[in-house]
Amino acid sequence: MMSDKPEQTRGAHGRGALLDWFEARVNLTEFFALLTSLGLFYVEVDTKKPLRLAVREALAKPVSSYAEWPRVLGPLAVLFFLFQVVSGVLLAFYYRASPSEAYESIRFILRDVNFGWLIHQTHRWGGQLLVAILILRIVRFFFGGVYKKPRELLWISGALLLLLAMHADLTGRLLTWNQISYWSTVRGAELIFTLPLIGPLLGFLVGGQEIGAATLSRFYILHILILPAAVFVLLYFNFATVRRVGLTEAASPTNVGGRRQYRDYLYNLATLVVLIVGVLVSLAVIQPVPFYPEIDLLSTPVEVQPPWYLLAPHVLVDVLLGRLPDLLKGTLFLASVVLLVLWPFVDRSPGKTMRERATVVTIGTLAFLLWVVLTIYGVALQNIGAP
Amino acid sequence: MTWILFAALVQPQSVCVTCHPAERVQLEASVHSREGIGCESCHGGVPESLDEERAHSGDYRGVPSREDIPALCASCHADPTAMRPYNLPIDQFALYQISGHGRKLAEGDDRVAVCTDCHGAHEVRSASNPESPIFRVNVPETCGHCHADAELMADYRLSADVLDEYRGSVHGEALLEDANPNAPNCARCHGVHGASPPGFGDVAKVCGQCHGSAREYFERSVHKEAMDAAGLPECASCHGNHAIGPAGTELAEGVCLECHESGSPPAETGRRLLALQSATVHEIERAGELIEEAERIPLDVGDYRARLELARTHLQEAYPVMHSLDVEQVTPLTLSARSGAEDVQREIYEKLSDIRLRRLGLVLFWFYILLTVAILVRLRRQKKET
Repeated sequence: MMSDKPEQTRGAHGRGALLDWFEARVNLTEFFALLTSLGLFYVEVDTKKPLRLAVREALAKPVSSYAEWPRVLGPLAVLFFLFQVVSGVLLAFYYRASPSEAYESIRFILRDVNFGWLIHQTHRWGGQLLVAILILRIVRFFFGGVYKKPRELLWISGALLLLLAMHADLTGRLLTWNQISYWSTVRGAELIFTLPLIGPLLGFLVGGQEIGAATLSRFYILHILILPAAVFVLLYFNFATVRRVGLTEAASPTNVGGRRQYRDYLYNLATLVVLIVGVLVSLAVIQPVPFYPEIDLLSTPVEVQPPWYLLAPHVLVDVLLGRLPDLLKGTLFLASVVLLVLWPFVDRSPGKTMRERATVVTIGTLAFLLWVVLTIYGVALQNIGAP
Repeated sequence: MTWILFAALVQPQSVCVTCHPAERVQLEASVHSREGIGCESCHGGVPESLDEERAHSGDYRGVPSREDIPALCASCHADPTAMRPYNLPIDQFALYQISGHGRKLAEGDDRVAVCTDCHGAHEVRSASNPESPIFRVNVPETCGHCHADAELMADYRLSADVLDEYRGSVHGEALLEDANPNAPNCARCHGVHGASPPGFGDVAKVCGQCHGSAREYFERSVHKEAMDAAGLPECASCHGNHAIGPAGTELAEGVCLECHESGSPPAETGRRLLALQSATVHEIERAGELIEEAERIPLDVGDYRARLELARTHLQEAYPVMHSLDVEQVTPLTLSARSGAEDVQREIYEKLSDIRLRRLGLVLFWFYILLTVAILVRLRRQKKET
């Protein structure tokens, strides 16, 4: 603790002077407090104190036990989201969202722009990993009972985040405007149009029952503006509720006896950022997504398949229950999504330990195993080229 | 204006269709109905009468017998004055009479094709109508009605496999699958109304209509005289007739050895021609695959497709020259085709190796990442100690 009055001790020279100049005109600590709201810090910031002091205090505080090292899925999702924003902005400099130009602009990004391929491929992989992390997070919430009172909103915002990330991925796929992305969107949309309520709504969102120029520009706006904004709001909400109720009972605000300081936590986050970039770049180089041929409206390619996270429902609904009418299949799908989001109000078991929720945990484990098995089955079907 | 309605009402009409509604449907789909040719034009009788006895009287001839049909059609279709407005030829009947079908019919065999077998009776459509049995693409099927009928063909000692052979041939695939408007159907080689098999001497002429260059080189080769002397059909001896394959297949199947002894100089020439051809085809195919692979990354494939097409054109030029049996003449063409394809391959390989450099870069990148992580861990420890 150097001083409580930094204006006087450091005001005379260099960076400190500039900071003070700003500090005198705007409350910089408020911006810092905003940053802490995105899960990068789980710490309360006193906005009345000057920035330097507030930061120093925050860094010296012990880490809340619910933010200890392995429990990083939330901050990890934030980091991936930020990466998607940055790489997405870079891509938007070159991408053109019109049917006649979209495909060529992707080709231009991948082929002619310096390191365009790297940005494009990491953006694509980043989206997949973001969805994967949010799925893992929901699974962890389920087995940890992190949806019991008072953490219902934590679960709901987590589930909604997952749904939003999936939609961001789906809209992003169409933007590449090639044979595969076009037809997989057409197939998906055809099923959704049969749904009650959601069908007409989607028709409104994509500009009619045909995937065309109107859909492309709507998906573009959804992908770069509306969905990211919604994700941002939900992330803020999500960590706001984490700060109030914590992740586990033991870590309620009164019981913050962590061993480490926030300074260490920040170093861990920095290490995480570096490793994330490493993983994304490796995937982009080793496993690049191919540049598919242009859209051919006269032929539907056989290999059109839903993305990996929809494989399990696809196998269940289309392959195993293929004979059911579309309306029923759609309603089942919709009902399971609603069930996922409203799960905290469905599960009425008494406590949050595994023993107290034995039935629910068993059912959940079976459902999760079924999901894994069906996904593997779907991948196998893909590989042998069956329906 | 009501008088027009009235006039339409009282106009004497053919009422045959009142009792023959099915024929009416067929007739109305035909070109004849559009030109006002009614039932009586072919069947005679009194078309205004609803009384069966009166309607079927006068020059009524009922269903014309098969022997009479060609002459009946010719009563209009061989008449220059009648056909002039439609710009239709008038030689079909004359040609038919010298055709295999016509001559057999004249001998009293009425199982051979007459006009209605190919054109239909009541529903005669124009040759440009895709529903017509004589539309370009439908002709093989139409001829096949009889010529793929094993029982019928046995009486004439003709093969009933011709339709299947044609379908699998390079010509059949081009016409039926690729919808190539230049691909020949049955009539292109055998004639239309004058249909008959081309004679041995005529095979080269018939094939040469399209394959003029091949014919020219062939006629200057040693094969020409030798095969004429031996009485062998010129093109068909090596290429076959209906089941003709794509260029080069005969060489690969060792067609030379059917006449020449293995190891003899002519067989050796065949072997060298095959080697030239298959090496070139291989390089062109490989270059095509590489272009696809490069497009999937994507790399700049610039003018590669155009250059590969040029290589294909050189190979295409080499095929007719092969009929000269002169390896010296063929080599420059296959060589320029092959080197064109190889140049494209080399340039793509260079670009692909640039892509492989990315993996090397990745190794260096991980080195940098691990270094950064190490520094971070170190910094963290230091801060703790101080």
